[in-house]
Amino acid sequence: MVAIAVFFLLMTMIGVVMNQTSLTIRVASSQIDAFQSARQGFNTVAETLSLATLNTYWDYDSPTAPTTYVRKSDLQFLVLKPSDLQSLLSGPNGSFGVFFQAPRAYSTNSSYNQTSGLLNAVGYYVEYGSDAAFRPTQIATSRYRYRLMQAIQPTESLQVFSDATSGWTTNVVKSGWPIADNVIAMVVWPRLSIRDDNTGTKLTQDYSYNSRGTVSVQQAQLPPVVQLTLVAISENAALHLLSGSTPPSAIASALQNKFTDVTRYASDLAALENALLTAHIEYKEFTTTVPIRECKWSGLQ
Amino acid sequence: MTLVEMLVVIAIMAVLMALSLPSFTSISESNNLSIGGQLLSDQIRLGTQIASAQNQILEVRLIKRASIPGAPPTYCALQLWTTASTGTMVPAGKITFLPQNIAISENAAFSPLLSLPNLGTGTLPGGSPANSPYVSFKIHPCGYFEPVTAKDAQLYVTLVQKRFSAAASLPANYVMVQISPYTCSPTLYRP
Repeated sequence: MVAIAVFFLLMTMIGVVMNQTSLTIRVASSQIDAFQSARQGFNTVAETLSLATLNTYWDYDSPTAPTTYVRKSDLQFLVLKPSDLQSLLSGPNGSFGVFFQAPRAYSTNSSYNQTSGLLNAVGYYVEYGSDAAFRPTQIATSRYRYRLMQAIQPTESLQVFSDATSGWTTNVVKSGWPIADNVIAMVVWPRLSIRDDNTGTKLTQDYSYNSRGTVSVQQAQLPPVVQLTLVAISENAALHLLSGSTPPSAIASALQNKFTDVTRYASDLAALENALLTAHIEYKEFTTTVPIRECKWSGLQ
Repeated sequence: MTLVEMLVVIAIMAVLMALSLPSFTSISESNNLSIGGQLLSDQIRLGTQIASAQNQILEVRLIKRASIPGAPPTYCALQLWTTASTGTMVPAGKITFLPQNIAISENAAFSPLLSLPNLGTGTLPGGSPANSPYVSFKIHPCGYFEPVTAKDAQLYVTLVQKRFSAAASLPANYVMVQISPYTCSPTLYRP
């Protein structure tokens, strides 16, 4: 009887140890997977952003009564604030959107898709919602998550030339596809290099940027660099925060009123990190400065 | 310890082992499925990196072959192919085999990627066994999937135990590997 009791004791202990070990492995691998996907998405955004182009040229300021040459472009580089981006999206977001044209050579026409260097309209943004439109039909359960989305308009459907404002973005977001789950925030800060502009306020005060807008320093030119920041949470944290079709309140409140003024970037980021830590949400932050290769920035218009 | 006590302990141990054997088999099968899903994902990620680094279109070939002579052939291996400077396709690495007893389901409902129109098809030159048939898709340097299918959620295959590779219904345990049409990044789904 003693032998049997000892045997069961040992079996129980082995079972508990195995259970704990497999739990630890599961947690660790889910974190690696979640952040690996976010890292890959971050690299994709940075790589594509560095290829942004405006194909600028010089032309008369007025076709009927010219007085001077001005820089012009038929393309557009656009950074939308969360409040401006929201009108384009079906799901809630609390983050920035960046839209531009880049030679990604994406075409749905088989006659074109062997050609490299074709221009596409591209957009990146964060959206909260269900994966119903993206998951395999065999998977019945919807997963509500924050996602880093990529939208790309094929070459043959480019609308940027026929639209004088930024209406083309409405159709671009229709092709939105997730490139990383659990990315809760993307901050896009167009700026000059730190040597030229220590505070980063010369191009924009509120992160927004519109090369077709009224701010003269932004007109028909790309920002020389873009400071890109992504904040991702782990899949385990996302599972604990499950809140259906409405974004988790802990995340929504952590993002509220953040990143509205570039001079408060560092303190906003610290406050966001602090809020996530306080709520015991595991997160990872990715930051880089992306130089825009096609930028020929000049303070002159 | 008497002989009776020892016999009782041995009998209990035998019963416990008999009870736990199916669950160990199930764990092993589940582990093989996970490894298979990870292998396929890793190869697709590697293909995306090679395509981007070499600025060339890369081909992923899903190979149908028998694991042992006489067994029915299944999609249980894959190989990356790239374009040589002469313009011909050459292997970018060795053939990667899925774990033992794991294959891609050939049911179009569970692996719609295999039924896409305009997929590449052919037979592998040489190898063992020689002339194994394959289907292939391409990864462009910019990361998008060819044959191009705009915003398609059906770019996925399902890994199952080989005995279920032609089954009409989805087994209890499987791994779905979905490929993004725009970045070719894989996503895994498990029941």
